[in-house]
Amino acid sequence: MLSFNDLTVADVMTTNPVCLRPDATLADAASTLLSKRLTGAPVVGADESPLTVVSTADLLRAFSADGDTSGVAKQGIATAVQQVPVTIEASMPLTEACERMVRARTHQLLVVDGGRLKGVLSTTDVVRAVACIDDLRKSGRFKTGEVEKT
Amino acid sequence: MPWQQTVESLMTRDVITTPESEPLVTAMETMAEQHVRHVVATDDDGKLSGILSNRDVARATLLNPERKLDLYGITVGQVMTKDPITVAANAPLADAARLMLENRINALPALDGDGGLAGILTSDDLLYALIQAAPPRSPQL
Repeated sequence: MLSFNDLTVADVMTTNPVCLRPDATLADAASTLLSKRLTGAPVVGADESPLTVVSTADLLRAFSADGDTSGVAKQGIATAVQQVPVTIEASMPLTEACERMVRARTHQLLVVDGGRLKGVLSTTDVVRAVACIDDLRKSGRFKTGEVEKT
Repeated sequence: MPWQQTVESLMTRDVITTPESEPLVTAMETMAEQHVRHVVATDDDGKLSGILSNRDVARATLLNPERKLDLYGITVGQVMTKDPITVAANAPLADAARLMLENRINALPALDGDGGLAGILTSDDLLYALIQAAPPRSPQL
């Protein structure tokens, strides 16, 4: 019987996630998050190592702190970021990752392999997995790794 | 962005709602289909009783000591945030931003003068308005 509890992070994570570079401005970050409908995006170095995560809340906090939004928009993302990224491995059971997400109070977990970013697991990925599982369960077509992503 | 602008000038009025008695999986389907991160939960009388976010589905795994998620046995009411923080529709955006940041939440149901649900304001809505007020993004990204 198909079960959410059988899934691993690899089954539902977003591979090739949208990333930001450390020299991006807050305007860049905001435009990226809004246009891609993301709650956050990893910031990666030249070697694809994850440095941190920029979230909508980080940006909102930065813009709220100063009435000069034009000035804030030009600042680098390092001025706004507060999160220490939480990293996991792709083989982790999805339920364990969910627990990690809740305890860390974050919407994104960074999936790493050998120090390099391999994907992102977001709360939206979890919702999508739940929704897809139900459809596939009704059709009886499910097998692990078949969860579709848009 | 003028922080004195009101919540109702920016909020989404067509709020997606779900009965709190609905199975969690049904609400998750709605969220995925509608591409939203929050739905407002209503009680038997159709009144606001909670808010369900995509983070709540992750939190649902903690309900079971074995960390197993019963997608079909859990209702929205069991995992939603009950008595959610709300904002008056005629409140200034500055108040809404402060509520979101202080409480680490990304959405606020907005209430009209009678306490009825008038809309929902998200952190994306606020950020979008802020960016509109800021200069164009730098060309190097």
